[in-house]
Amino acid sequence: MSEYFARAVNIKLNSATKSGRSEVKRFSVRIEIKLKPVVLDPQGKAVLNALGGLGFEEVLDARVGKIVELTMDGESAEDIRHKAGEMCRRLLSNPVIEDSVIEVAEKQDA
Amino acid sequence: MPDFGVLLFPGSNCESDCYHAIKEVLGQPCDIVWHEETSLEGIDCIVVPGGFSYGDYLRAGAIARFSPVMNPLARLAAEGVPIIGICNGFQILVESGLLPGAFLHNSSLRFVCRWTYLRVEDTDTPFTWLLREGDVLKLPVANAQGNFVLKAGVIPRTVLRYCEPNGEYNDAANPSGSQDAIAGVANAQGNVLGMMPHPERSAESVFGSEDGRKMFESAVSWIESHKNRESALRMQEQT
Repeated sequence: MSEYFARAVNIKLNSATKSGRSEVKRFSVRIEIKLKPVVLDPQGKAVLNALGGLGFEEVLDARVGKIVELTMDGESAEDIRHKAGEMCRRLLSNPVIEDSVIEVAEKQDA
Repeated sequence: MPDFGVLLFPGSNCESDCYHAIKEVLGQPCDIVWHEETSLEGIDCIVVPGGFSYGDYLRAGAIARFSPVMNPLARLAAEGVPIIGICNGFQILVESGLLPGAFLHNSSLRFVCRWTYLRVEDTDTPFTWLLREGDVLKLPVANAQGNFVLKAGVIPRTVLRYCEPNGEYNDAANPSGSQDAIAGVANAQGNVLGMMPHPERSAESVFGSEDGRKMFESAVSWIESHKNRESALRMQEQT
């Protein structure tokens, strides 16, 4: 694995020196992954039952998802969004059971 | 004799049981293959064992599918080589796209460890061809995410279904809430089988069931028959 990361860092350094013309910005990316509405959510059901047990009887439904936060360098928000979408398809979500929502924001302090 | 290969990922924990069942109980040649291998040449049957590959991070099987050994595995799958994924191995095959579907947490919300009964639905796979349709096998399950689901409209090749000892279906017999009581599915070709129950943990009478051995014996017989057929065809072509 460490070899893999070392290679990734090298690629990044190389591309940074080569593409000196365009400005590289820093983005924060928030990916929300949740089960599709049609898929039953056993974890959400456990939370719902536990909340009911605590006396929160007004809770009618609960669904549990995941949030993945990334910090990424890139030239544009569109480019970052496109890459994050590919990450979702290939690893972060399972399209058979999950939907993902991607939010991209440029970091001002970078 | 067919050569078996049992894959080993970081976090696999059933590889020794599979190795024991194949090597000691069946007496077949067997190797444990580290997940960084890039070749599976010379192996006649691959076992993807259970466990918690990569700690089940993200989703069970989601990270293991990027291991180097998955490339030759996909090639062998396409070539028709028998491949069986058991428990976490099934989850890895599903995540890698070699089998359809996905897994959710068990509907009981619990880790389920118990005996199950399975009705054989499809005998045209290397692992079931020495069984008869309707045979009932007694094998144990042990998983937290065994709740198999399919994308709407996908009709899989169901090989094993959870049932009562007499072969009847009901919800109580389904330990994880799997869709259509599915316990095992194959790819369209039939050579890749994924199943949640553990045949390697029921291959000797000391375990309380020997039914699991039938599936490995079936694979041995299937491979030998196909090898014989291949060599007969080759001889025919030469004369």
